[in-house]
Amino acid sequence: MSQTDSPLDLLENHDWSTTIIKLSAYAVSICRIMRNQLPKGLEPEDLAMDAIDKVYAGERKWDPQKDPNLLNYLKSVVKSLISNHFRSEEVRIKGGEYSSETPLLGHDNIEEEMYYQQLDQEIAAAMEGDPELCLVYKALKEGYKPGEIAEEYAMEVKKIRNAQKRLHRVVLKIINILSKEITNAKK
Amino acid sequence: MPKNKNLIDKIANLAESFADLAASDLVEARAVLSAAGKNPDTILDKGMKRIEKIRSSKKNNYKNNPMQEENVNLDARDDLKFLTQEAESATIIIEHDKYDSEILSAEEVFSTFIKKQPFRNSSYQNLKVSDEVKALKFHKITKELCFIIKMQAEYAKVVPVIKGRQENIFLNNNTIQLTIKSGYYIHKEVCFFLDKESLVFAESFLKDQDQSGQMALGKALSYFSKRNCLRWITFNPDILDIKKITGSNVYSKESNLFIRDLYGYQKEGLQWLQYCCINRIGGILGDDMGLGKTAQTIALIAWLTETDVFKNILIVVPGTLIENWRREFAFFTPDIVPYIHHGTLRTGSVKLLETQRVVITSYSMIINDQFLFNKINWGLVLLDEASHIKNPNSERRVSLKNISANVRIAMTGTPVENSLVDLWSLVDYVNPGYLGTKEAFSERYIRKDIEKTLQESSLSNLRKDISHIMLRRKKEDVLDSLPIKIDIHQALELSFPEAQLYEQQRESILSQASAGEKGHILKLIQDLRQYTTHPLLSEPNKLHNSDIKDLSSSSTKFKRALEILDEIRSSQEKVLIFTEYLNMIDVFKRTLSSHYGIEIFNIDGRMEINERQQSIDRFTESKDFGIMVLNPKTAGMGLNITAANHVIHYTRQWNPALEEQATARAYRNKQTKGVNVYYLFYTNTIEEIIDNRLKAKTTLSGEVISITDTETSMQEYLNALSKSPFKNP
Repeated sequence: MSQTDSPLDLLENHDWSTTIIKLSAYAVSICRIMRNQLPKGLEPEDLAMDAIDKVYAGERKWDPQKDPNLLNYLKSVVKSLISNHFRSEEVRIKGGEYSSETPLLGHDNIEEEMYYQQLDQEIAAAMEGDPELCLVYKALKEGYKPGEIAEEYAMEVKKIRNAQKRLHRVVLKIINILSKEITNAKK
Repeated sequence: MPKNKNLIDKIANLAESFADLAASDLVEARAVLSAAGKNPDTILDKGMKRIEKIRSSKKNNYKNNPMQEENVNLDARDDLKFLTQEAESATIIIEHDKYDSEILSAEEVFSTFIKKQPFRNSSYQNLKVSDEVKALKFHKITKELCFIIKMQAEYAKVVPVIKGRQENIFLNNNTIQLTIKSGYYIHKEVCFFLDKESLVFAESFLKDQDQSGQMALGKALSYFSKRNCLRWITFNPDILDIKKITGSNVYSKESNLFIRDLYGYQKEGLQWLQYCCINRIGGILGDDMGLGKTAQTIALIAWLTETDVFKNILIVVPGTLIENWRREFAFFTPDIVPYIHHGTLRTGSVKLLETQRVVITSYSMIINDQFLFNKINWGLVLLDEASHIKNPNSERRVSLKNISANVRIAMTGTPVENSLVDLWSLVDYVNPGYLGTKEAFSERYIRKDIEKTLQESSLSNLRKDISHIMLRRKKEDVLDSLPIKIDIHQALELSFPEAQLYEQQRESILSQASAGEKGHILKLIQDLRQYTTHPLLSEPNKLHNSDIKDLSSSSTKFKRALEILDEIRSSQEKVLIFTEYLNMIDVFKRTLSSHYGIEIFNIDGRMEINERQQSIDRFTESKDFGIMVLNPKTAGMGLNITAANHVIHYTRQWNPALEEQATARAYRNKQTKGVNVYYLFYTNTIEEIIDNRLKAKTTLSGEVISITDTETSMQEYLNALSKSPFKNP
């Protein structure tokens, strides 16, 4: 990127074929794990495209000097769009006024909390005491990035990433089982 | 390092880390999408199309637009060199106006130069070629028309000016072919960019032209009917005179697949629709509510299927009516099972959709899945409640217009709701270009003052033009063959969250029923009925704070009731709505009065008896559209409200006799109009059992089912509870 490239130049010349897939996977991944539902008819990948639209249109101002990595910037926009949808859904369910200060997930819905507790317990059980997995799991939950975990625990980043991938598979499997259980319970 | 508050935040951190992982690598990202049941290629395809759309839109707010004052060197393109040899310089300068907004759109460019051309007809906007239509096989369209058709394919995009080139309007065929193949179309001083799909279109179009640039009208008509092009030209259809059509006996056949009988006027309607399909003319079926538009169109579909006129038919309906359409098909043509494209489990496969004879989908799905529908050339696209596309710029209309079809038919009882633009929007959808551009139409017919608009003498011309492509019968026109009371049972489907809550309640009742707590069950059954009236009735505070938008988004039934009320308003008639819940009555009063700007009358137990008649009198005296909300138990007997000729049973009564009595407030002696009675009910819920009871009752010649027969009722209650919205009937 040269200093003179404008955001629009960069957007025009960007390789969207990769970004669309990555950004959609990002949105899908978040929505799969968190239980909140998007409005009917809206898919996570639509949010990915909404994010691109907003950045293109300048509704979300991208400053390449500040955020040189466009994908990372788009991810933050997707995250904020998902938060907004979840918040408005929460406000709709609970009543009350919508405010941008409304916390994303800090509500007091017992059913939700029980679900996440169960998820947490199931993941813990599925790790079968594997120390590496347990450590990575705990650190990721605390908000550490793989690089930070590596630094904190003097481990190779590659190892952390592998553990993260294994963990991801475990979590998806558990979520599938839980969803089926919930559906069956409702029937 | 973030400080986390609770477990949910921690899981959110985890989710984000996995999402980062998913986005870190293309292979991983694709795997994540596939694991979630999504097709990465479809997402990419859809995404790239959207990027193109974003790029072409002008909403860009970044200041340093690189399109401004830029010289684009096209010299590198060898295939364009022949164009620049005699030019002032070898570099083609593409000039733009200073601001994006001043750059002409393709449409503006066309209108600027096509207007100047000496066509045989004076107006380029709506070239009338009805003579040629009469003899499709023998006539040819001129090269001028060919040119316009090609230009209207909506692919010409870039509008820069190339200085000093091309003085003649019509290039010879070889030059056109060469320029088109090079990816550009140069016309006069304008260079049009052609995209990939446009090239395919343009090349096939050129092949269909003869040496002199003319084209057989039949072939041109097929381009026209695919609607890939032609916004400024239309084939002026012969007058669709219903008497001529029915008198010709050409279209009198009905399909064996259609197992019910049609009324006489419906048979005529069917013939009119057949005529439209055979002659590739888009039409509007604008019959009054209750005249059986659905029956006529299903009869048409049965005929189209049997005669194989069209391979595939797409029906677009409001989401609330999908279940109703499925049932109508089962009732009228059980051998035709439509494919429902709706909900989260819908297909993403074009192949699967293509192989379906009849596909039913909703307006929202059209927007979401337009990339799917676009890939199919539909024989017939049929819109129910077509007033949904009254806004010409709405996303759903734009999406629908992009779907190609040989014939488009729109069904609506209210072709004009607010403005004549509604009508333009509908007509331009079914027959693009028939009424000219929106701007020309507005200039011609629409005045700021509605009174002036109505006085406009040209309106009679408009009426005449519209009558060519619209069949509209009023109830009074066909009263001879019509029952005075029309029962309209509307099957609705609970939305997923509504169904989930209903199901929880149902299961709770069933478990208590098995424990033998009968008294409690009755109360819970009432709760279910309350729930089907409106889910928010159990939360009075929320109910009273909700506006009309919240109320319709949380209840399919409320939404449908509003659609029906809109239609009644457009015919300026009066309606009675029956519900036994006082809170619901209050909500109707509050929201409908502000929504429609009229006083909403009501009768319920809170009102003194002498006040009730006063309320009826005021309702009767009120002008035009009027709504009265009543409790069927309080107002079900003894009152005479013949000013209303529509009745909506919003909360269904367990005892059918109560509903009949309520209906009799409007449907009685002195009623001069036909009465429409709407029964709104959710499928696979207790309401369906109630609806069936009512239907059974009408066949049992007046038998009255006693509400005091608790043992029978209890058994029926329990039967009713066996209906689950999550299990197919």
